[in-house]
Amino acid sequence: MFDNSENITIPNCPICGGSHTYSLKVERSLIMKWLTSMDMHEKSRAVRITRLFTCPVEYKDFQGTFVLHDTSGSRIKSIEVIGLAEESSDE
Amino acid sequence: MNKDKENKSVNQGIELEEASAVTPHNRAIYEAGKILLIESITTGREFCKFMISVSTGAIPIYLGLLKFVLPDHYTLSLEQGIFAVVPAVLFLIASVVFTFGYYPQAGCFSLDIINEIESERTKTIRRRAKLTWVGFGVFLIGALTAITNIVINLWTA
Repeated sequence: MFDNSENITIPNCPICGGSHTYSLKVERSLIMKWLTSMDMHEKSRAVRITRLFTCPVEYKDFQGTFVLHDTSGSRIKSIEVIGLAEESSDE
Repeated sequence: MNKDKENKSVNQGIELEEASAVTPHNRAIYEAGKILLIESITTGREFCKFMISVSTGAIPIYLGLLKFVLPDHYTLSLEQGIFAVVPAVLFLIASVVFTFGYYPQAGCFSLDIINEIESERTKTIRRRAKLTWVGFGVFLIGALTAITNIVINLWTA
């Protein structure tokens, strides 16, 4: 299991119309297994997640639905919105 | 629609599908979660408060019932006396345990550090839950002993 910080940019905020970049804490579980030829051609599974974000301009919440991909060897366990990423631009 | 297309093109690893105002359903769920998060601390405390009065109130009720069941001028033997006292003592122990659960917990955390608040909250909930289960267990044993005691005395007297 390892944590990874990933950024998501919402170019058109539904509250203020500006662009904001948020930092997400993505927790993945690594599954140890024998690799078979089937696994080499394994397609990644799409995981659709909806999270609440806070607009830094209007301080109102909006929801964002995004898709992440995982495989049988690396499963997404949890996704948490940490907050605004440092390189965000507010308009 | 244009907004969505623009959103998708920006993120490489994560595909943003949609960003919209919070739907009424999600807002209601969010509010429910907020209430659950805030009230989970007070629920345990309120339960302890309620159980303190129930446990202490059970002592005179039990003794009153026992006195009502026994005939006048009836003297209990030593064994009967000990057995008759056990439920009252258990109710007293339960009320003491619930008092510990109700008592505010001493802790130190900074309001700026969310993790500290969260860990302190979890610690408080776990401690209270443990005390609640212990107290309730003792209370139940006390209630069962009290019922058994009254039934036995009703039978023998």
